[in-house]
Parts: sequence; C-alpha cells; structure tokens
Amino acid sequence: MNRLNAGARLGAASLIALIMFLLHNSFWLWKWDARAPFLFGFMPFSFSYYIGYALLATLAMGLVVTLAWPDPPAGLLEQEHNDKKGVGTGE
Amino acid sequence: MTKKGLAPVNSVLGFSILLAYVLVLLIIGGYGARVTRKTREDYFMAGRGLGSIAVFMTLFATNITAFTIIGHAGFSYHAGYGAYGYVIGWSIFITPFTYYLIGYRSWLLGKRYGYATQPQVFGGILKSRAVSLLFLFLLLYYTLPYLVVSIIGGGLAFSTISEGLVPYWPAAAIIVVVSLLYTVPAGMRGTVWTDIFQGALFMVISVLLLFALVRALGGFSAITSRIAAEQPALLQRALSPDLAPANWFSFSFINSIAVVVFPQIFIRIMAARSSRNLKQVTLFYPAAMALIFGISTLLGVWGAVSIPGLVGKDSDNIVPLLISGHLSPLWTILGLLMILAIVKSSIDSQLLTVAHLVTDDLISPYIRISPERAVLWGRIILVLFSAAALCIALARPAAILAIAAFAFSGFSIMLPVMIGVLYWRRANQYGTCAALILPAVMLHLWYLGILPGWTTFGLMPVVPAFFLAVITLVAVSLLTPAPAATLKEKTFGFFARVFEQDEPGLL
Repeated sequence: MNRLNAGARLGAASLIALIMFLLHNSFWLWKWDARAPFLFGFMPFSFSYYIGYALLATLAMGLVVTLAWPDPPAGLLEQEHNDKKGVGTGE
Repeated sequence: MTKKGLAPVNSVLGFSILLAYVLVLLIIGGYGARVTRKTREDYFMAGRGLGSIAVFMTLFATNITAFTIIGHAGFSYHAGYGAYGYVIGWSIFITPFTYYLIGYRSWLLGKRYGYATQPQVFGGILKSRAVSLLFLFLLLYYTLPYLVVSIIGGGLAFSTISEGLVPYWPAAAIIVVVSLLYTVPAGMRGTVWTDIFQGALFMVISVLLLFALVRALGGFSAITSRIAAEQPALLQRALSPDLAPANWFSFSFINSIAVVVFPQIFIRIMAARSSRNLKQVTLFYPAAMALIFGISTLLGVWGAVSIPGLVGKDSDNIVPLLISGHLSPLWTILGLLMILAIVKSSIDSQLLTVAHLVTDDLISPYIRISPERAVLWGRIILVLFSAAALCIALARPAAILAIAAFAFSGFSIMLPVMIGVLYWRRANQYGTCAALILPAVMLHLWYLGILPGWTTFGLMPVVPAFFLAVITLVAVSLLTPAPAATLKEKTFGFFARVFEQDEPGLL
C-alpha cells in the first residue's frame, strides 16, 4: 500500500470517510432498534451501535494514519523554519 | 424520588473541596507563568511544544462544554438512546478525521512559515489581506456569541447544581474571574496544563457518577427493563420526532464538522510539537468522545423513567436532579466540580483565543509591536474581552443569543473554503472571499426567517449553505484569474515534499 501515490492515498482516506458517513446515516438499520436484543443486557441497539461505531472509527483513523499521513522528511521543517517572514498574510 | 440532603456547598467540607480545586488551578497557572517566556510564540502557542497528552487533553477538554452534561442529557431525556448517535455519532469519526484533513496541512504550514491562526494560514496561502480579514471577522463574529452562551450555560449550571446557593450572576463572574487568574499570567501553557487537570477531573467524576447512579437505581439491567416497560419509545430512533432522518442527516453538517473550524481548537492543533503527536490524538479521540457522551446519554434516558414528567428545557436539569434525588450530599459537590471543570476548560481557551486573534491579526498587521509588547497587549485584550463577555452574559441580549443559535452552522460552512484552499491549486482569493460571504449571508436569511423554509428543501439551512460554499468557491475561482504559480508553489511545492514520499511515516 505504501507504493500508492499521494492522490491515491488521499482518495483512500476519503473513501474511508465516505463509508463512515454512510454507516452513520444508516437509516435502513433503524428497524433493528426494536428487534435486536440488548447488548450485555442493558444496551439497546440504538446505543450499542455507536459503541461499535467508536471502535470502528478508531480502526478507520488508524488506517488513515497508516495510509495517508506521512511525517515530514527529517530536517525539512527545522531547516526551512528560518524562512519564516513574520506573522500575518505571508509577507 | 428521594431527597437525601441539601447541597453542602456552604459546609466546611464542600467549601474546602472547592477551595482546593481553585488552589490547584492557581498553582498550575503560577508555575505556567514562571516557565512562560515573554514572547508572542510562547505566550499564545506554548512555544509550539505540546506533546501528545497535552494536545489531546486540551483539544478534548476545550471541545467538551456544558452542553455535554446539561444540554445533551436534557435532549436524551426526550429523544431517548438515539440522541447518542444523533449528536455525537458522526463526530466520533469526522472530528479526528478533520484534524488530519485540515489540521495536519495547516500545522505543516505553521511550522514552516510561522502561522498560528486561520487568518494567517489562509490569508498567507493566498497572500490576501482580504481573505485574512474575512476569516478574522467571521471567526470573531461567531466565537463571541458562542463564548457568551458558554458563560451563560456555565453560570446557570453552577447555580442549579448548587441548588441556588450561588445565584446566576456571581456564578458566571466566578467562572470568568477564576479562568482569568491562570490564563492572564500563563497564556496557552496555563490553559493547556489546567485542561489536563480539569479534563482528567471531569472524566473521572463522570465515570464514578455513572456507577453511583447505576447502584442507586438498581443496576443496568433493571433500569433498562424499566425503560422498556414504561417508555419503550426511548429505545427506538424511528419513534422520536426529534430524530427524523432529515434532521439526522442535516445535523451531520453542524455539530461534527464545525469543531476543527473553532479557532480555539485550530490554534491548539497548530501548537503540537510533532506530526506523531497529532496522529496519536486522532486515535485517542473516538473513545474519549464516545465515553463522555455515552455517560451523558445514559443519565438523560435513565432520568426519563426515574424523574418523569419534565417538560421542555426543564429536562436540562436532569443530571443535578438525579444527583440530589438519589445520591449523598457529597455528590453535589463532586457534580459541581465536574460542571466547573467542563465549563472552565472551554471558556478559558475561548477567551485566550479571542485575545490571540485580536492581537495577532487585527493589531499586529497595522501597528508594529515588539514580542514583549504583544504579550502585554494580549493580556490587556484578554481582560477587556472577558469583562465585556461577562457583562453581555449577565444582560443576555436577544441579538447575541440569536446569533449563537446558528454559530455552529456558521463555523461549519467555512470548512469547504479551508479544504479548498489547502487542497485545490486553482482556488483563489476571489473564490475564497465569495465562498465565505455568500453562504454566511444566506444562512442569516434562512435563520432569521427572511427566506421561506421551503427553500432549504426540508433540510436544516446549514446543508444548502454548505453546498453553496462549495459551488461558489469553484465557480468564482474558475471565472477569475488563477493565482500566480510562484504563490501556489510556496504551499503545494512544500506539501509535495511531505506527501509524495515513497514511504509514509507510520506511528
């Protein structure tokens, strides 16, 4: 996966975001609010779904970090920080 | 409901606990002031040296407001378990994702060119004073009412949970004054270090509170069985009018995507020491958000069967009512500490951010001031804005409250511009200005009732305004001259050196 170019990596991150958006707006699953048993005996589906969603979100962010979040090359920021020309509008 | 005792705020124990809490804040603030150098970068940005725990705790504590425990629990009281997904579901993922999408690129530019705020980053990329000033105006325009509402919410919560012993106006004043006592001398270091303390405090108390109430109400399964028997509608999202799919979908565009646009959040991202720190924050965030809002949801829904019959905004008092009705008086003090920690960790960040924006982006570009003078200006502005915000919070003018009602939406519709400028080489200053102004005007026309409701196609106004921002940015940028190649190279050439490496850096 590390052979992907920057555009493909950003595309993969965007696809992950789209899937998470669809899983959040998953109205077709709402019928399970009335049918699914309580998780651990007290969590209805409308609540436990988002416990699972939070776990998935952590995994999804881990994937985004791995795929599409490179660290700056060593020395890039330090070397060029001296180019800073003051606060404001980039002057 | 069984009342087990009055609030012991005026007891020796209660007063001692509150005093110890304030003393800890002052000690942290005092130490922060000793190590803070008198430079703009150190005072407003903690020297851009925040580690993973510091960035995570300050972002999280700043993000969590009185709404989490007061407003969200009250909403859950009426809407049921579905309130959890409605309010925070999408945020659990998209908030950390926007820290990557917007935060990391902005942070890179901050490290490279010294930018600290949105006016500097986006005005700097496009080399446009107009873009910079527009960002500044809109951020202040939406942040100030939001700040005032935060003070009002904090004051009311403080007064409610002390059972009226501390009236609203001194409660609001105490919150602001105590925040200033450590923020003025220690700047961002003071707010970040106290955020670590206050964030840990409110998380621990909220978890303990959950288990104390579970015990008092007969156990997890007993409460849920009671809800299923007495108020089954609270179990199903489809039965709650508040959670209609159009509202659910629309809300994805308000609460969740606005967070990275809040200047107090954006500036804290810019203060991270390294890329690795930001990555770790995005991995901690989903569980922390899920936990605190999960507790608030459960308390609200449990309140619906344990203290039924609350109407409208009366349900916002459900957590204080559960505490006073079911727990020992000591819990009133702990509940008060939790509310104070939540409220103050947001308000101090907002106050410092307003002072930072005014000093750096309104005064510095026009008046040459030394780094030491900038800190002095910042402190004076911090005190003046705090006094003004407190006065407005005490007067509660309708106009400010009306703007605050759609401040979140106002922040949200700035997101397309931030993404466009950071990712699209063709975005120019004309498109950016138009995409900031036009959707903001339309948002006002919709929220103030000047345009008829059908023009939003049954959705909340933020949705069409959001897509209007996208269309305006693209159309106006394409119809006007492209930015100079050298100007864009400064940003995109730099990004290419980071993002087009063969091996992305892992954790």
